[in-house]
Amino acid sequence: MKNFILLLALLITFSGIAQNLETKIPSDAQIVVGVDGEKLLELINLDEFNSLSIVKKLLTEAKVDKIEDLGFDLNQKIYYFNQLINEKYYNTFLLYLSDSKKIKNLLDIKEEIETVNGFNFAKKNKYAISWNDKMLIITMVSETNNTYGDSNSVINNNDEPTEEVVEESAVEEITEEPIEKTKEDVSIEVVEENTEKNKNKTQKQLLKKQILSIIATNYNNSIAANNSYKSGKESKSSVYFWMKNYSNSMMDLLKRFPKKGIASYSLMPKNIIGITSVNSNLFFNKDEIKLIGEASLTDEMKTRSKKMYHSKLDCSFFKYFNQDDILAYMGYSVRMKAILDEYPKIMKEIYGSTMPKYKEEISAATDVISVLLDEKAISKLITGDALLILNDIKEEDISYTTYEYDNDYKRTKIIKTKKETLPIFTVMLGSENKEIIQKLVRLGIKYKVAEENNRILKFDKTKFKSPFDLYFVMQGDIAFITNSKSQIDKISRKQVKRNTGKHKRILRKNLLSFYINSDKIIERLPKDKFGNKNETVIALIKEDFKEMEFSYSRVKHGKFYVKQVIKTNENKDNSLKLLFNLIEQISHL
Amino acid sequence: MQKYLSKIILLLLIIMLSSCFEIIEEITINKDGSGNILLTLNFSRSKSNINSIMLLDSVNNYKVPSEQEIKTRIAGIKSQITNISGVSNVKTNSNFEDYIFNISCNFTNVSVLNKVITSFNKNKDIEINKQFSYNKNTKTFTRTYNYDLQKEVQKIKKKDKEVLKDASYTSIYRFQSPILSSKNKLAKISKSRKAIMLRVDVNEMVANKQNIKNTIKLK
Repeated sequence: MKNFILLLALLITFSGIAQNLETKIPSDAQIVVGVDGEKLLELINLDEFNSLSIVKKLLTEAKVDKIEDLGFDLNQKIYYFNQLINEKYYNTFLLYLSDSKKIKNLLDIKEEIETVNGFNFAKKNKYAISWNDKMLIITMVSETNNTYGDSNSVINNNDEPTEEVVEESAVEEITEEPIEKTKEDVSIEVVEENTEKNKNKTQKQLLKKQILSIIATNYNNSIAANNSYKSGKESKSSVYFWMKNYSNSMMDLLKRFPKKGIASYSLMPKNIIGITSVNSNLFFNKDEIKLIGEASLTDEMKTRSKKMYHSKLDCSFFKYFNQDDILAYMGYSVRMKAILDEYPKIMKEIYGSTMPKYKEEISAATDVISVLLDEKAISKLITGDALLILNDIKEEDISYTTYEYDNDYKRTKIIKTKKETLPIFTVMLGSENKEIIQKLVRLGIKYKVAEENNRILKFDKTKFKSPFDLYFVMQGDIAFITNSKSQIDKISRKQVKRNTGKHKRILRKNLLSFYINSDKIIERLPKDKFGNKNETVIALIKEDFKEMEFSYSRVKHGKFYVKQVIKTNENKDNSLKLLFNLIEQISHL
Repeated sequence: MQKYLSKIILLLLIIMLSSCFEIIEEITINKDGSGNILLTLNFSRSKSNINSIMLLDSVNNYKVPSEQEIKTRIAGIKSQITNISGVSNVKTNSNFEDYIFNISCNFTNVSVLNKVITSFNKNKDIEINKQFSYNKNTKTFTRTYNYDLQKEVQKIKKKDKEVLKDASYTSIYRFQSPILSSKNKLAKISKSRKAIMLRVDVNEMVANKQNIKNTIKLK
């Protein structure tokens, strides 16, 4: 069954759009995932899909030759959704069938099949499987930590739950020793068997009720009528993910782990997470795989986020940005003063509520921190703008100690060298308080931690057990730290060629951005590091997956926006085929 | 966020830097079975990697010990060995520049040597740790081990096994009498025939392709 669910998950990448199936998803669904197979089938055909090793393996388990033989209508759409009803999680798959007769064999249903509202219904393990000529519903229920007690109390209406717990542990001990069963042992086994039967019976009733509710769902009480669900859906996306309320879902999840140490996270106020609906759309375009997501914020979080994150990376950073010398970067821009103002308050809210016993202490501690911190002065020293750049990857000679042996195997210590691959990086940090920086520099020189030459401060690797020397220079309102002598020289002489390309827009527009040029990185990595097997995959990544961008926007229209793009080889068929090809190669490793 | 930046740089380094180490076991056996052992753990080839790791709290979910914690652990082992009856002249040396660690001592007989080896292991079962024997009558020195290395290594995660990739184990045994024969074909007898050296790759040992077991017959 696990493999079958995995196959369904794979099939989720392979079904066509059908509005009416969406109307069977109840409006109380917490999470919905739907996939537009029609678009995917335009990009990769079923023969290509069937030839993938992972698909072949799963089809063999399902005892069919090709995916079409499963009996699913692949020109329709598959949905997954999750509900939380009475403290129990229900996970459901919905899909259309092309040949309903195949279902019984495919799912190896040996259990009793009932008829419920024109649908066949069978319970297999934790799953309920229900189908008619057109549609298949698979649903499963998982009991949370909280619900386990509930289900037992439902099951054991006539039993003594506390005694049962004691007796269950007694059974475990007894079964370890092969001694003759006493009357008491037999009665314990009977109780255990009855408990299991009752549990199954209750579970079956719950699942049947769930299936009936799905069958009875119509447009008006379905997710299809939900504005948040509808508005996030992009017509051109291949996969759509929607979450009703991220904060609520996280809080429900935290309730499953009610206490960790002295903190009870279930007591955390809901508004602290501050994210309501979340959605994302996945696109497989000809030359890119693109994921676009958005998260709606509560009014409180909107105000708080605007205060902390409404800033743009200082334009002077781009004077030192040459895209030709960059393999990857991570940049962010926050308002340091607002962060220092807000964080003690957030900490007070989180820890004050999760550790109620220490509420007064936490409140006092955060107030003291607020008083001690001079937010304005700190934000002058560290403005909140930062950029970490990976400039290059180089092989350098590194010395190490080993031994050589004479004819009588008496050893002598010798120094050898070996090649090591090191990243060449530059860190840029916004800072407006040159006075403090200068004082720190003078202290560093005084205590011989660093040496200064032409305003450049050098931290010797031997003093810090670092694999490389570190260089520091203050240029304008930016503090530069790098492990490249040539890079720091260029920076201090303002000789870095300004060449920002598309990156200025990415970095200025977003709160946090990542960029990786996989093509350039792989080119610079020493080939002998990979090994023969990995070499094929690495060569494939270099050939087909060029760049990766990830960005996290500032708050706009009450929302955070996330964008992730993987640029693929534009001369090849399309990005989905390239992705499947990569999965295929990795599966052979 | 600055903290994360530095952690990203460190992780980049750890990923890029290869790691390897060597273990050297040098034992001198006198005619009466007494002798001296010098154990060396040399991480010098991986020092860049270790320098980076030492700046982190944990790697691959393993807690990274501080320099002080390592010193305390070594001092603990030294104290354990010193307390073994028949052991004398226990010396330790820690080089945190190159990450080379030595421990040496004298022992009165081979069973004391086995007790010394036991002090390095969590499992204090002397039978399991009985790795050396010396028969004065037959003048035979035997090196063995009772661990199922393959089974032990299987418990380790795949990414952690990379640590063993270039690791080596070297044993050097010296005797006062010349060596007549050695069972392990990888072992090399010195010109004077009074010393024997065996170098194996730890990965090959794990794969059961090489091992450090040996039976050495003396004249």
